[in-house]
Amino acid sequence: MTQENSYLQIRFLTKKFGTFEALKEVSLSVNQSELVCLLGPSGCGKTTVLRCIAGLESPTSGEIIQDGADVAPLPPDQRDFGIVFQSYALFPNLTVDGNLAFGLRNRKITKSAISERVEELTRMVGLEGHGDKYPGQLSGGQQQRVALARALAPSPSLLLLDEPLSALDAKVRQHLRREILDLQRKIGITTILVTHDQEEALTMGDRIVVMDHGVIAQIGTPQQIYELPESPFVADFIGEMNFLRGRLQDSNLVEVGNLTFSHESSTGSAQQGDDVNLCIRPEDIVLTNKSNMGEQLNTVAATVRDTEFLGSIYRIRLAFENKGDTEFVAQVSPANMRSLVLQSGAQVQVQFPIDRVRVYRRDT
Amino acid sequence: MAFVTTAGSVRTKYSRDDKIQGVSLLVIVAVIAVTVFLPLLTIFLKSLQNRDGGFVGVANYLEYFQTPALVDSISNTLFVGVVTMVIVIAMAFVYAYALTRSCMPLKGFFRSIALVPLLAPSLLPAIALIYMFGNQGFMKWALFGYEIRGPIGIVISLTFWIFPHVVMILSTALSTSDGRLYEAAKVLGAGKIRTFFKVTLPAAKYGVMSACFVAFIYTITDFGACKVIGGWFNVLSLDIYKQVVGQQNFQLGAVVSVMMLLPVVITFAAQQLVQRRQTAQITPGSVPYNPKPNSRFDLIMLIYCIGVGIILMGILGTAAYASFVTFWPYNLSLSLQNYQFNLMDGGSWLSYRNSVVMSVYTAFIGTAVIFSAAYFIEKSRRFTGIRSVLNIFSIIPLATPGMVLGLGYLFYFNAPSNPLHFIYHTMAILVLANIVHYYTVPHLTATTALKQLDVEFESVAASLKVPFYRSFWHVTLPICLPAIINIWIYLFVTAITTVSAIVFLYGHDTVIAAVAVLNMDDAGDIAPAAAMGMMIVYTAAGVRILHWLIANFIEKRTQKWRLSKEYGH
Repeated sequence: MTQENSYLQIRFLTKKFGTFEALKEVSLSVNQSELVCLLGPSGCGKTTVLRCIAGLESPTSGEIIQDGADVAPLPPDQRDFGIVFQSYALFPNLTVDGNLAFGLRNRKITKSAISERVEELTRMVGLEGHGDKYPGQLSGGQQQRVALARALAPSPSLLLLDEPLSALDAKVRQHLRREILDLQRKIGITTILVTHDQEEALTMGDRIVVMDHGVIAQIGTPQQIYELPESPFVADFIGEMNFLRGRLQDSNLVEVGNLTFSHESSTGSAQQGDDVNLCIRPEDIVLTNKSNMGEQLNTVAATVRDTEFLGSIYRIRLAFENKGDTEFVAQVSPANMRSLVLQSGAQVQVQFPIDRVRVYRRDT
Repeated sequence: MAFVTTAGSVRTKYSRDDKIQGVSLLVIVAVIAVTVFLPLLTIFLKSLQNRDGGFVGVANYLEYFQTPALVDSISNTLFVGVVTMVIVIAMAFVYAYALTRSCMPLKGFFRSIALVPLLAPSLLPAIALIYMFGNQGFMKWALFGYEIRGPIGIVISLTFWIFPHVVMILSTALSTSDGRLYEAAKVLGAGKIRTFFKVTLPAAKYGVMSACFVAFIYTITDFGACKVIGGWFNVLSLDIYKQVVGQQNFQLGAVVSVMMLLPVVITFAAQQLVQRRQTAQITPGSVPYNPKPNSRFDLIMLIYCIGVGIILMGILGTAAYASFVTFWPYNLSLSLQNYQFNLMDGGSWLSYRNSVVMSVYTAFIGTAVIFSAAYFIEKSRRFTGIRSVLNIFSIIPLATPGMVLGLGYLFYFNAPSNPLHFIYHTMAILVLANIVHYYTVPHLTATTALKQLDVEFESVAASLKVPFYRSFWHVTLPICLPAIINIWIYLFVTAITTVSAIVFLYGHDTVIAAVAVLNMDDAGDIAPAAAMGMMIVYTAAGVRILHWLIANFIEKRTQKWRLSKEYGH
């Protein structure tokens, strides 16, 4: 990322609540027109970062450079942003139009210009004809759009979204994800979205910032985060991951029980002989019938423990044949399922493709 | 990327909103200091001084404890406090139980009947009791020779007067119970009595304790009823009055005030502790308890409520009837003679007019001040420390007896050196004393209403660069309008019925109706006293009905958005 393109830079942001450190020297840069997702479990500090950017929380130390100026000491009303909260915080006693116009009055804009802008906003979020309704008369999804339009009304340069979709049910959520994304692309507004929902982050973010215990665990595109997680935390938090306990034999050989697996991933600080975890995602494991696999790399025999039908896929719980206590999970499409015979107790060959295997040092 | 290894700490700047809110909070602190702390401190200092203002240490206290007549008041006060508490809790518990746990008819009617005593000053039931059980009382036989003037009269008057407060607390406590527990008890085969002791009582435990504290505090701090019907029976509030108004012994009056403050503060602290331990009885999954019809039980409850209703209305009715009787008991023809207040010693229509004016001022100014203060305390963006301290300060008035507050104001504002000296004896000090005296309940009402608003309204407004006072005016205020109207009527009714704090503060031109009742009763004009007491009841009732109509109208006009589907989640 280049300096010229960067709209918002957070440098060494620290926030303490009493003795508790909610954020520890968080640094992060967001490019112009980019949508960045802050993702992490509850209590990881993602919302605190957002509130510091908004000025709703005062950071203990650090800098927040927005459009070239440090805004960290400024109160919220001297910053340039629009925000959508999880609860939407729509004014229940004002109509949709009233909510949208709320931030436009008080700005020396003529009445006709305000109503023009309100109309434009209603059209933009597809709420034509609902202008006279009160928030209580709208569905959750419609309320969400009003909140978004209200935040965008004064044309801010930065949009902050705090868990904007978590109060909605799954179908509406999927639909709105697309809509928010289209809108964000269309007006090109720099956006920071806080979420605990990895699917939301993966589908919406240009980049994802994974946070854990007040520090950034990893920054990257959704593909980087998913395919090359830099730590076991990220690997575990995003998607599903098998963790197999083993020992690093030499830089690209891992011993799991009496089996050895090759890998090409970086081993980080792990030295030869260290305890490590061998990781592979369930969907990356290749299952075949015993007979037609030869002496291929990373291929071993396993026994099916049980299978689970999840609609579009099957989850297969397996154990290595000659090391019964190490269990792992694989995913198989229904089509593959039909060609393989995988009832519990069945013998199969499993392959861990070398480019799909990751190794992390295991701390005891 | 600049190579910064560590960043300096952030010194946040204050916005215009922050500055206005900060200054407002400081003003609130200053006002509390002048209207609560300094007057109370003056009482304490006065109790350590001699008549000339010299410091004498605990000499006044020694004198107090060596005067048996005064010391007896302590045990007398605690005695009537405990007896009234036990009686009123027992009566009100069954009543509240009938309202919440039976299927008897006319529940709404009986709920209203229970609240009627709120419209009367505590002087009025005492006057009615004298008509019923006094020397010429038509029910004197019912006392088997006992004297109504004294503890019996005090206990009955205050039971009447405190009843609505206790019924409200207990019916709230009894109605917030989880229906699932009763189903579980039934499935497990628990009998009715066992269910009552194992499910009902534990759930209502804190409500009952809270009601006990309220009943006890209201009794030991009452002045009006004790003054009218106390007779030879001395209590602390009477002692304060006698020392200050009768003997001009301000030092001893201050000592008695401290004596009254002690049990109140202890009880109040206990109540706060109990409230803090109370956990939410109702969880999101709770199912409201719906009583099932049981003809025998419902009939018993109905008879009980009719009985209590007859007693309550009988006492009020006696006062009303007596006020119209030309000359009790010799000429029972009805006339308006007792309402000729301008002809009476100690009463006048001026006092009635003053009462209405004072109550209207108290209601309007009090509502504006209390709601704004609650808003600044609850919704300011910063200054968390000062805000939580102010929240604690705002419950102090509840623990300050009216007599003590009034005496504090007398000492503090009557001092010639006080620049606010000029408000003494004026309408202004009466209104101020009322607002401070009755501050806490409206403050809690306002805070509860404000807490129900989305916490992010202010953040949204700030992000839209809308100053806080605009969102206050366009959003907060309209949403809280029902609560604001309730605060207004609470202040009006309490102001027009109160006497305790005012008794030390009124001047010749600012005498009020409740004081006139007191003075006419003192002068032996008991029928006009009843008439003036009834004027207060008519006015309070009239304004209540007006309030109800206006509140309905406003709700229809401005709360349209509430009628639509449930908001939020």
